[in-house]
Amino acid sequence: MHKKLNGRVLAGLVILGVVLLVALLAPVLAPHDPYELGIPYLRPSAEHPLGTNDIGQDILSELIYGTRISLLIGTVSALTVTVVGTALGILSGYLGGWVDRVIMQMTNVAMALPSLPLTIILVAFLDASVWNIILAICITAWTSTARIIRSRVQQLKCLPFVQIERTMGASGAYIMLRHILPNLGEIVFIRAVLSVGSAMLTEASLSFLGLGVIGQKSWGGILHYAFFRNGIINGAYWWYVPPILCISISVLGFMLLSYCGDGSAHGRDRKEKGNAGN
Amino acid sequence: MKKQILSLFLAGALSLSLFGCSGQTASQNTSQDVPVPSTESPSAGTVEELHLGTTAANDTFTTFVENGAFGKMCYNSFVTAPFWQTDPNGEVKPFLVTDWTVSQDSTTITCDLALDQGVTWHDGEPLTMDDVLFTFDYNINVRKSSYGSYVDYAEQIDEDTIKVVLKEPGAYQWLKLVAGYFYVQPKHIWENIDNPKDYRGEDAVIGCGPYRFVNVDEDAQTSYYEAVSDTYLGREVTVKKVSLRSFDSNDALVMALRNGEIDAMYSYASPIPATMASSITDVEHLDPGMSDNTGNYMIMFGFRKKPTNNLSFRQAVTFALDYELLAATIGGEAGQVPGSGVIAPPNLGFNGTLPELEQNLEAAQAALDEGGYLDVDGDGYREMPDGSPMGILVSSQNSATRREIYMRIAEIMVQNLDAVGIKARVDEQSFANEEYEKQLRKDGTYQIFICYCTSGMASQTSCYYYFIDNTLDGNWGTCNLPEFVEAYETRRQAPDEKTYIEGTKLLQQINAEQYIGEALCWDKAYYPYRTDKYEGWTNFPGWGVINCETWYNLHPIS
Repeated sequence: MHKKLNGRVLAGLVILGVVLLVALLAPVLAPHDPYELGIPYLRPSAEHPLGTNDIGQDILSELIYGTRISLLIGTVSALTVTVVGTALGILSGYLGGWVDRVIMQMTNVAMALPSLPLTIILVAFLDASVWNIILAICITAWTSTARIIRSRVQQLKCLPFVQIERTMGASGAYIMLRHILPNLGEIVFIRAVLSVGSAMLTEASLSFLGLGVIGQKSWGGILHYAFFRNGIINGAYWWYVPPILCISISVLGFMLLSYCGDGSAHGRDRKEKGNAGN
Repeated sequence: MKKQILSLFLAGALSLSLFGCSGQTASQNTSQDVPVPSTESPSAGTVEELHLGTTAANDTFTTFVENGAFGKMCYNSFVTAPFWQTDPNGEVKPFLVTDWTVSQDSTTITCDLALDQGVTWHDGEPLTMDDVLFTFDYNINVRKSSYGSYVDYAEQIDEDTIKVVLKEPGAYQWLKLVAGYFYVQPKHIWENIDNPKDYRGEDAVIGCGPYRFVNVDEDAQTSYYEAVSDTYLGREVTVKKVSLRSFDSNDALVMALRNGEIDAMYSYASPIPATMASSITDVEHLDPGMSDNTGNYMIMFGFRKKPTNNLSFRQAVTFALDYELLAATIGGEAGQVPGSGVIAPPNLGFNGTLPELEQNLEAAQAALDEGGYLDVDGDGYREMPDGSPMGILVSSQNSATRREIYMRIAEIMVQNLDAVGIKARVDEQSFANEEYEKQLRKDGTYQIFICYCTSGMASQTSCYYYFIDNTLDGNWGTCNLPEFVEAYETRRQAPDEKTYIEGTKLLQQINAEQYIGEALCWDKAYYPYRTDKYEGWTNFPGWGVINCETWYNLHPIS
């Protein structure tokens, strides 16, 4: 089925395409090794377009390499959160009964916990590493996906094609995988895309608070040192503005991409309204 | 439409509340008990209220421990009255002890006390000889402070004279250590407290210094103090009230200083970082308060662990470090590459003839080769002489205010060591886990430890206090080299300044040969203050303009 891309989705794709290219081509694009030590606190120049940080590392190169960590944490976290949230949502919505009650109680409890403080505590207790940061983000981020998926599954399981499958004796697992899951594609995609942006923001917050891996290049980490090593009070905007822009634009890219299902969703709404009129 | 009106209303309410919050000043936020700054013009020659800023928290109010903004202010002969204080050059000067003599064997100090000059505790009780004797006994047996650890006992000679007997010779050094810090404590309060460390009763703040604690506004993070009388120990007190406001960061403190919300800063051993110097220089009505810093950032080698207990290895690490970069990172433009004696130039006994530290990768590699640290398996990293893998952990003092600079120093060191084939990594636990770091220091099981020698300790006893392996001097050091220990003990027992200086020079010489620890930068200390309202500031090097003299010298600009 061919869907026409709307302007917002196209803009999102362009942004994310550029971000992805920067991440992949970091060694080619970066003018310096981001870990190379040099003269600290240099202002922007031809050699260092964004100047150098407090230990003489080239800020532009840090920024370019930082794309990798931000994207890696964002996408892996989003993937995990989406898989877990979708699985729990389908089980809860389709099976109902005590399974639904247990999963929803778990979800309610998890949703009641303040996610950022909890993530901060988890990261503080775990050894600092990319995988532990991903784990800490995932532990609190799956809940809304699970709830949304559950609601949609509850709608789907009442539709005739699912009822017919049941009547024909198809197993629950078969129906969930063969019929329910494919019909969730749009919602799952939107949730996944939004989760990437959310995970990137969480990672940036953690790194800004100094809970990232020491020495690792990430946008939040650059911002952390710009703030705590006096970049802001000394007016070194070339140090702290670029990572803010990078985080904002990347998250915007994912937000725009989440409009991908807009057209068909509206179409379905119209169709459902039409059916209601009959 | 309804929704839009509701949104507008909510947005308006939010803006108003934000405006209200931002416009709220400390005084508006105070409780009824908080003294409202006087609106009358200041009386001629006196400062009605001095507004100070600090980065220490207004959270601990007791004279038993020296924590928080209150505890650190006590170092300025403020709420508490020390037996001795120091002048700007670190010379021991009288305070409660008006005169003293040291015995020839340097073990006994006979002290005349100012018990007849009308000094009273802030609850009205008179200061007595009982309080003085109680203080010594209390510090030796209950408080177990470092001031008391050197003292055997104190006894009364006559109505206002006592004799302090030390466990071993070292009166000169002990006086330097306690001056400004060791204050008298009220017997009638503390003798009845079972758990004094955790006691936070109202009377825990009772001292007999020139200022009494009034109260604290926790919301505004400001504590208030007032002078107990117009004169104190015969000197006119020219500052009538003091407010001490805590700031979350140096950035916020500097902003407040630039805006005129505070008049000066005081943070013990935590000056404004040199990398912020540009934000306080060339600012109208602001003096950066720059002085040579007596304290310094440094590393210590662990003598209880391999391979840092090996001379060749320590020498190699010393040669591997990029001191130019470390000086610029720590000290900014004014940062100076340190010498091999660690002690900073303004300190007594500084040896300026020792060579500057210099990065020399070839010499580092040669030292490693000589020590038998070779790359046996060809992976680019050296192994231990017995062929086992070599992994160096760069640990750090756990400090909320210095965390970032320590992290940066560690990053630089790891890269520098990597360049000579030493596989090193940052000990992240030491940055993140206070208990872990405390235990690491206590056990002395670090290999390379990044830390800071405070300005106070640097001028009292020097940074070697942190290096030595003994329990009298805290629990940081691991160096048990016989010649170093002997030189240290000899200097501790120095009867006079000349011997002390000679001893300090010898210790620097030993360090230059044995690489026990290294300074990473000699820098400047910045304690900024405003110059538009008051005059008479005295900037104590490495300490700042808020010191034991401020209360008697500050006057409004006429």
